[in-house]
Amino acid sequence: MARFFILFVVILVGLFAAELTGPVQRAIVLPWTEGLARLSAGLITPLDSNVAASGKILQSTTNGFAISIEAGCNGIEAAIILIAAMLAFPAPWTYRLVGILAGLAAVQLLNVVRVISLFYIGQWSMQAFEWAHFYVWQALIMLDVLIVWLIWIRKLPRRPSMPDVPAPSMPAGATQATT
Amino acid sequence: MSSQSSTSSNCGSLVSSLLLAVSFCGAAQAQVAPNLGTNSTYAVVSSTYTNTLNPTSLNGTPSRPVLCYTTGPTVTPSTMSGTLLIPCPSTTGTDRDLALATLNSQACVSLGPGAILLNAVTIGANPPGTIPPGCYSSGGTMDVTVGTTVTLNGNGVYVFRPGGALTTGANSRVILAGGSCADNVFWAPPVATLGATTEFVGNILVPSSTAITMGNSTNLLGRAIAFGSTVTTAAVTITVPPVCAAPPPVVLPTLVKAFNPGTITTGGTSTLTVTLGNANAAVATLTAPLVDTLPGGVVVANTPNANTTCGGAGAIVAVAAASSVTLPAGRTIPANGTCTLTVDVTSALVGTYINTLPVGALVTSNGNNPAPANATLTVIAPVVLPSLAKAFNASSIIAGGTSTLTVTLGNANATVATLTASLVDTLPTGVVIANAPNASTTCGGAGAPIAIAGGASVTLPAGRSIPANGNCTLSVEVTAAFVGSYLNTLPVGALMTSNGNNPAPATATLTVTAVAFGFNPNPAPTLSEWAMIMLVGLLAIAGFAAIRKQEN
Repeated sequence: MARFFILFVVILVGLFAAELTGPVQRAIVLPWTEGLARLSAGLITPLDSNVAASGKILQSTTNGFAISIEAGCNGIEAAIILIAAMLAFPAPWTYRLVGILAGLAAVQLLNVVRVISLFYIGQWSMQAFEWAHFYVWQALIMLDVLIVWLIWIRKLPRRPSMPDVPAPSMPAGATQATT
Repeated sequence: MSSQSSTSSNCGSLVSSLLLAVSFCGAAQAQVAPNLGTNSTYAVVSSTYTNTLNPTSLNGTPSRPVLCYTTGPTVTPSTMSGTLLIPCPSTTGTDRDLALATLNSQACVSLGPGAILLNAVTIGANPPGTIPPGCYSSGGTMDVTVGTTVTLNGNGVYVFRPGGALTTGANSRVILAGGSCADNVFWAPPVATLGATTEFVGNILVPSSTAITMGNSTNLLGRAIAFGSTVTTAAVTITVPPVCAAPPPVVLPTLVKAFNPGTITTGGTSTLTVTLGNANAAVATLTAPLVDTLPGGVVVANTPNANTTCGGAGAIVAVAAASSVTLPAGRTIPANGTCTLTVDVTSALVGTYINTLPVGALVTSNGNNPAPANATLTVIAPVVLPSLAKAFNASSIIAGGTSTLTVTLGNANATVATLTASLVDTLPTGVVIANAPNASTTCGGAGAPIAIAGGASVTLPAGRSIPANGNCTLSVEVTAAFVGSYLNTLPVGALMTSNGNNPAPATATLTVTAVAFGFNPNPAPTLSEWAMIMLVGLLAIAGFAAIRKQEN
């Protein structure tokens, strides 16, 4: 149990630290964020022609409302927590790989839904936009990650139980008595 | 006869070889025709008259004296129209002396200090040998080269006053052209010799005890007046010329001057132009320098750019920082035309300066200017052009938000700058006046700023003013619906005031951004820090529970 916790924290810190470095930002985070914006625009455009997408910006051509998908809005942090937990938890590597891929898909798909929903909520009401942004969608993302995590744990194969505490050593006096 | 011809020819050759051709860029002084008095009817007046060969023809007026002498010729002229008087009346001598006095008293332009070849002399723009009306003198002889022609061109009086002999070569000609008249031509040499077959015009007057010698077959349209002297002819024709029509009156030259521009700032330059006019058929030659003394405080500019369109030679005297400019004597004003003298001037002091050329400042062969010429140069303090600046506050807004556009009008002069035209700031496409324009100005004067909600421009009306050594502002709320960067420019000249127009554009950029829902500008990530901590905790707890369950 302690091993899991320590590994979880170490991996978590390592991944967050890596995320903040320039090379990772340039190579992964920013392209990922722009890809998310393009995906969102691509999903909206067939259904709503009054949407213009430019870079990481989605804008309504009817009322000018626009949202910009900035760093932190891309679901990477939630995915990092889930990945760290799966890597720290004692499990076969195959399960870890499958879990990480499934977790990434679940988090990012829900994040796309979040972006699109906020785009339209904002056009309807900025107050509702703020409320959904700060409260509803954070809870939903957390719930999403937690569900993926629980399902993944549940799907893991059972392993033989191992003593958590090593066998106690012989008292010094007994040895002398034996002798 | 052959001896005379030979003598004349030799003399002409000798003169030709010794004399230098003279080019004189000018015209003679104003001249006056003397009154010949009782000499006017004579072809020949002499003490001793010698005619060596006939036919000699003296053509005067019938029944009027045409020839007089004390000692007569051995060969009487074969033809004589008029009467003969022996001896010459003393009045002819008196009148000759008066006429010579008149001729000698006139101010002539010297053709040179030595001998002069009249057929080679160049006067003004005339070709060599063509001489306009005027009075001409020389320090030495006046000669006409063998076989050449001298043309007296133009209606007027001609006076020739050589310091030495008047000599013409054989077969030479002195002829009339352009309205000139033989009765208005006067020669006053100490002695005169006309070569054989010379064609000559004018009245030759010599003093007593000298001679006029005319070669074989010479034709003179004029008079040989040599009271107390000798006249020698050989088969010549002398015709007393008819009275000339009065020459046209001389129109005095004019002066006009101007500064361009008439108003400059201190240290600036203005071009002073002096225009010299001459309404006569004869070129007017400056017989004295034209000196324009600038008013105190005005001097020739560092780069004088002195120039003249007047003819003739002689450099303009215009030295940087000097207080005068001079057009030298010898320069000419064309016939029936004008020419100019220009020079750049400057002044370091504010003021109004009147520059005057007084009566008589322009002295020419056609007289002097009868009226002064004035020009006024106004020197003012330099005006600092007004300035424009502009800014958006905030310079970055989200789409649909508002920003305050402020245009600042500056005036660094001691005088108020009043807008002479409305200042119109046309907003860039995509930016419009906000629903609540809140247009206001701190500029003086009346007239409300014009800013209509949804409009594309804001206007500060003419009549508004910028305080002296200060500035004022025009403000209005604007908005933009779409994301973008909007450059708002007020171009050069957009601000037109009584102190000039803005010399530089004013620009400001309004950046319109989307509603951000990332970290910037308001932290609103997918998961906040606390949400992430909570998620980590939940996963850890679930993990612990799962491990414990596996272990059990």
